[in-house]
Amino acid sequence: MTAMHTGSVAVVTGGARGIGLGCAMSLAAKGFNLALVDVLEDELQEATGKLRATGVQAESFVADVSDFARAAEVAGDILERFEAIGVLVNNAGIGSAKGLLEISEAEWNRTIDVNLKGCFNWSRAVVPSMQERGWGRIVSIASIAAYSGGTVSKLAYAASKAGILGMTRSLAKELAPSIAVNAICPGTINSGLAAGTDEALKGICLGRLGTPEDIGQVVAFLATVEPNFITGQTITVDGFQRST
Amino acid sequence: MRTVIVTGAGRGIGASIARKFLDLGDRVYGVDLAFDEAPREIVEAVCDITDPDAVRELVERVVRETGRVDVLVNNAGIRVEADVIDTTIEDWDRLMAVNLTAVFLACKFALPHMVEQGSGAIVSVASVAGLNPIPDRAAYCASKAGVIGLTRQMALQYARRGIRVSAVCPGPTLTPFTRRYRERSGDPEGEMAAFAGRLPVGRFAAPEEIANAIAFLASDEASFITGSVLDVDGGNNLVTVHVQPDGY
Repeated sequence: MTAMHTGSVAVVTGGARGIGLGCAMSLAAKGFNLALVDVLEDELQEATGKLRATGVQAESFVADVSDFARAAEVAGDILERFEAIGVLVNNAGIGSAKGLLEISEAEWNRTIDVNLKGCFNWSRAVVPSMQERGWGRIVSIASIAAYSGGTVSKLAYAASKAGILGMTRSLAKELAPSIAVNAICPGTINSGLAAGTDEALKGICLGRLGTPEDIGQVVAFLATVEPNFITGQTITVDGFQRST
Repeated sequence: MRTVIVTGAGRGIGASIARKFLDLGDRVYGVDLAFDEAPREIVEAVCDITDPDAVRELVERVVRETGRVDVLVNNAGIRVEADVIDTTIEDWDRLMAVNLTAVFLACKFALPHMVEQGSGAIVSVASVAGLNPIPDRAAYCASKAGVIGLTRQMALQYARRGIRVSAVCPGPTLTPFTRRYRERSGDPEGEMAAFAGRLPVGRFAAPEEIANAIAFLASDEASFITGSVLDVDGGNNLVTVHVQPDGY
């Protein structure tokens, strides 16, 4: 733990399970306190218990990341419990498995609102606290679907994840040098959200699905590496996946 | 204890890479022709990395002495400051030999041992020049793009053997090479500051920042990363730092 992030909290959206919980556990292992944000109340309680068992402080906050006003409100609540926000992991996301002619306008909007606007809402909510201290790290969880387009039926999902990459690059420039902003593109991760795993396995050169911990360890590296010259980058963590 | 081979360990980024792995508790074989900045705790291996026999002997020595090769860091590199018209055949061949063929040779002789172990990590130092062009660096840009291509091919080829292969693309980094290059201008401090000012983070990288990324990619924490190319460039690739030189 460096002087820069001592006493600060890491916020993980969608932190109640899956990749988000993997990120939270890896950050806890590096000594961060955690604030988990999710819509899943029961899973949040369970996740918070797991984190506390590792010896860090952990609090949970029920919020839908697509709600702009709610993000600001919860960020305020977090800052009442913790000294400062040092790390934001934009992880909350939903799947959408429909093509252009199948997807409803409502599903398109919902996917973009959670997966992309959620990153905007939370970046906006926490960056003032990071700037106050002159130190911050934002890591957003995109997907290799941002590059591949996903399977033919992942229109809104792929678009939302590609949007995260553009936001990451723009924010990296805007917030340099005090705040580093990067993205991770996971491949197929065994987290509950991914389907068709046998098919996916064939295309992964390393011969296994990813785990939430695989992603968490990369997030923890980006959150703690010091001094840091990595910003605006997208790290693919997919076991070299040749098909999606 | 891992056995790590670092080429170009004598100074600059390579010396920092060697230091980093030593700090992690590894046995480090530093490969170079001179070792003026290298940490003293490395095993110094004088070797012309463009000579196939010498590289084969080097890898054999490492395996004879430690029984393994866990990590290979291909860091050694040179630059030629010229466009295509002005690059001599000799300069082209020399640069390709050091920057690309040497990577091939080290991998060619280290990989059989990694395959036998069922594990290994290779991290090569490419450059942002391998992704975006830089004026008057024709051969350099081509060689670094070659390193990226070779990295991804080897990642594909050896993934099922437990071997991960990645590359790091450093942006502008403070090394003896950078300092010497800038000193040739009339106002090195001013020129360095002006260049740094165009980067999003407003400064050059320290060699240890490149070393940190390489050590991470070589570690078990990156066990699901292979075939990836990580820019450690302060957001350099996000802005147009290199414009057309005057007179073009």
